[in-house]
Amino acid sequence: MPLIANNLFFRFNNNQDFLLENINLELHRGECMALLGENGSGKTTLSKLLIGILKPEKGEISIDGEKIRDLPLAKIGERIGYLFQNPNRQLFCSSVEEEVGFALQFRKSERGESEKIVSELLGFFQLDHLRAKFPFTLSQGERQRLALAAIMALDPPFFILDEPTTGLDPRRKEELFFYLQKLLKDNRGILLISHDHDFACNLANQIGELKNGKLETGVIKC
Amino acid sequence: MLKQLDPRSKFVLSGVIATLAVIFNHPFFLAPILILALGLLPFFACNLIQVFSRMRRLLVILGGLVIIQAIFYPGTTYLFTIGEFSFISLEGILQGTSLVLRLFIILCCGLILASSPPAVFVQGLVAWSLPYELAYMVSLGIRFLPLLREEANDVFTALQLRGIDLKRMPWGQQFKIYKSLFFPLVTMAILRSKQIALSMEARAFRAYPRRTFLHSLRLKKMDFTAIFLSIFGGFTLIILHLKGLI
Repeated sequence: MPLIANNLFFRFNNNQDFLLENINLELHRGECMALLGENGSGKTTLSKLLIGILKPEKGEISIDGEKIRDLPLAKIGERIGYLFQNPNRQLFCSSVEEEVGFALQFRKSERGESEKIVSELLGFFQLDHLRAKFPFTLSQGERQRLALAAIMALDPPFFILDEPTTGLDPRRKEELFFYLQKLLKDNRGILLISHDHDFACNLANQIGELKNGKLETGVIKC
Repeated sequence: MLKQLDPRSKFVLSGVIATLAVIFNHPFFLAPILILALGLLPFFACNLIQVFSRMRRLLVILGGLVIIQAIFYPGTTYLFTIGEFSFISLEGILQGTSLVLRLFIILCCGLILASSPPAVFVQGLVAWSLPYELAYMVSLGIRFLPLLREEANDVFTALQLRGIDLKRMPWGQQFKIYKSLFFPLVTMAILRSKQIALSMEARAFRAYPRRTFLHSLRLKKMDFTAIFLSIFGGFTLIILHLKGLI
């Protein structure tokens, strides 16, 4: 079942004009939609609506047939992995290892399963050697990779990634690209918010552009 | 609009209101002072609805304060007596109510002061011979509180998005999580303050013993009126109170 947004309208203040108007989107598993747009066009706001952090004034968002507004954030987090625009805001543990395994320690899992997942993710994102480090002493790129690894630990079917390539060097960007491709092959759905036109074009099946509060698809050519 | 008042006038006004809140002890006097402070807030461009909705969160704590005072404050008129034990005194309830009213009044004074932009606020303090380093630190501290709150909110959102439903967790586990969050949040704040200190110094903060400001402060007619009315009104009420007339 897809992640669906129907006729979304949103504004921060009742006295203001709508920041987002009549937004419709449908994201299926195995598909990637890229969302482009100028600074302040509402990309991050739209992503926060989709994840349930913000509530739309009108319209409905659903995942697997369930309305987002009826689900607690913890349940949404199990279905949608959300990467914040600023990774500093989503890191809160005292070591890299703990950060990646945080969500797993509260789930009933077989002995050693959590450790295995953490090791795999640390290895994949080349954070193995930083295992015991405090996340805030890492470089921007390392923190970005750590935030990605942390949300991937729960293995959700959908991902919303807000500027995942920020702070990554070309090699790490390429590695991220292959990892996201792998996720798509594993039947995960990705909503990619980015300013990186080439990265978005190479990965996404559909490209949307937020302009004047409206979502336009098929306008940007790759 | 009183928002345009010089910060020094706002200091005097809020200082007088806060002093009255400390001197008067009975809810019958504190309630009108609170009404006056609340009545002034819209003139300082404070959204009363927003203020009330924020205060709503404090109500549980404040209600608790009143109850504690009512139970433990020694009084002469007790509302309940079981055998030899008397509890919930009228004096205690009045004391608790006074405490709550006083807190709200001081909160209103803070909002009046916060209606000036931070730079103007600093200038006001410097104009009263407070070292500008100190004044700047005070204003920075005040202005960073909402940012820190926002940061903490984001961390809690990120926490929940990792499948942690704090509401459904046992107390022990919740405490463990809050405890583990404390250290990183404090470290984040310290790291951020170090960064700010560095960038301030990089922009020549404290490079010279004196500093100038882009705009200079000047007391206008409206400021003198506000200062006069605040001091005159405040003194009159205090003298009447000391003479036992109110």
